[in-house]
Amino acid sequence: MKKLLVYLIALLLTAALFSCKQGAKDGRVYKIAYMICNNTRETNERFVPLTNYLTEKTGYKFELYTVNTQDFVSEYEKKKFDFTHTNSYLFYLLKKTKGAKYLCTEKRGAYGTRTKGVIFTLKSSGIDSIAAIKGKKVLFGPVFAPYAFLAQYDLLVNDGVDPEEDIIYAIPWGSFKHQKVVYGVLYNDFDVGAVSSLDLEMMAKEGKININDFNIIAESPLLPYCTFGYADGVPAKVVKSVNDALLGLTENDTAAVGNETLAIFKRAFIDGYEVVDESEYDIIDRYAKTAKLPPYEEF
Amino acid sequence: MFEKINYVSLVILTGILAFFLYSGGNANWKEAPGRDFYAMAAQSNISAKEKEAKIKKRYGGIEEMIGAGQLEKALLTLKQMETGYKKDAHLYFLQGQIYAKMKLYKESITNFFKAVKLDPDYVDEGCSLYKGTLIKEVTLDAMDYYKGKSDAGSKSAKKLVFAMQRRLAGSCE
Repeated sequence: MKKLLVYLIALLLTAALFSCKQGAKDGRVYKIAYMICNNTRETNERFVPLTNYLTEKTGYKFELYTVNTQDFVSEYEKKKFDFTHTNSYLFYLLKKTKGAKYLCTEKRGAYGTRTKGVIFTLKSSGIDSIAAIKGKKVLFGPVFAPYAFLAQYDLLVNDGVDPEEDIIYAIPWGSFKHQKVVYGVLYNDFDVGAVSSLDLEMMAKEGKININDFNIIAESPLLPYCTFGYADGVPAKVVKSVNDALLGLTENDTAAVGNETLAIFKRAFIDGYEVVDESEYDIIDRYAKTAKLPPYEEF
Repeated sequence: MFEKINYVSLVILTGILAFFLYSGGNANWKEAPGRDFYAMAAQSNISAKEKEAKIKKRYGGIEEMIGAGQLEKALLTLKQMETGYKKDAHLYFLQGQIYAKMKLYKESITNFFKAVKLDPDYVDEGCSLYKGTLIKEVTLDAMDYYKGKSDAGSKSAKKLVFAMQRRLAGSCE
């Protein structure tokens, strides 16, 4: 009986040891901070499979960590996470002010690793240029959105329209702000809207809108889309493993989430990852200056 | 013995040849509609006209947008149509044309490639749909654009451009 007990304890200890080691090649847990885009639930649903895939593929242990756009810099300062998945403005901000480093850029939609900001109206509105926007009601996306606020703000200022003086502008509350902008214009509550080209493309593809109802009166240059970065201090071999795994992802790759096996691309709404020239992010510096947003905020 | 076998073989072969020359096989060759090249040409002419009419009806408005420089709107309209017309080559040809105007060569060649794969008429000089000159010009511009660039994105784009070049040259894919 005593012998049996010793065997059982030895067996349990071995099992415990193996379970600790599983998925943690170096015994550490790396946190990937995902910027909340539409809402926390959506971000979780999108990126849990990708995070689990990185654990399966690299042998290092990764955990998903969701962060509000406004809190990203302060949480980074507190070293709450190791990798970052943000829009291009937040990446630029983390890189410029906190030394975050570039990994790769996400691909989605018509322009792959890039998208552009567009200013649009209803075809029936008769507004056909930026000059004609003066005095009108404009609906922007959230202020930290590079292709739904910053790019369009810059377009207006460059064409002689001061958003703070010449128009009446608003930003929707709550989740799915970009779609609210489109609907705000579609249902005539606002005269003009500012979203990314990608948002219009996706809503049109999903049958939520008919693109022929709208006029695009201005568009920004192409800017890099969502970006993976990492904090100083993450071991180089971990960074390389993650980068290789991301760049090697294909639409056939899946990951286990609970009892399910999920397609990573379909869940995350992505078409892959690619490395772009980091100088493509430079234009965001001008946008931040124009809109007086961090690191050039005046208030 | 060896000569005897040769004579027998010769007789059998002559018999087979005679059978094919005078049998119904010959008549089938003449009468089969699939083998009548005049009928085939006439048929192909009708299909080409039907194809042109379909393209004009479906894409006339978008081609006007492209002509007027409303590239973003035209592109979004095509993307919206992708759900319904996934197998329509012209949808991709026009996207290729728009991306070329935007100087986004990788995207342009990707779409031209899809169009040509779905309908080889785009690079067949004998067809009314022929757009080989434009596709070739864009391919050459793309080659110039990616020359000397060695980042990962350019490398994958170069592969595509060279594949397009090979396709235009007429070799196997």
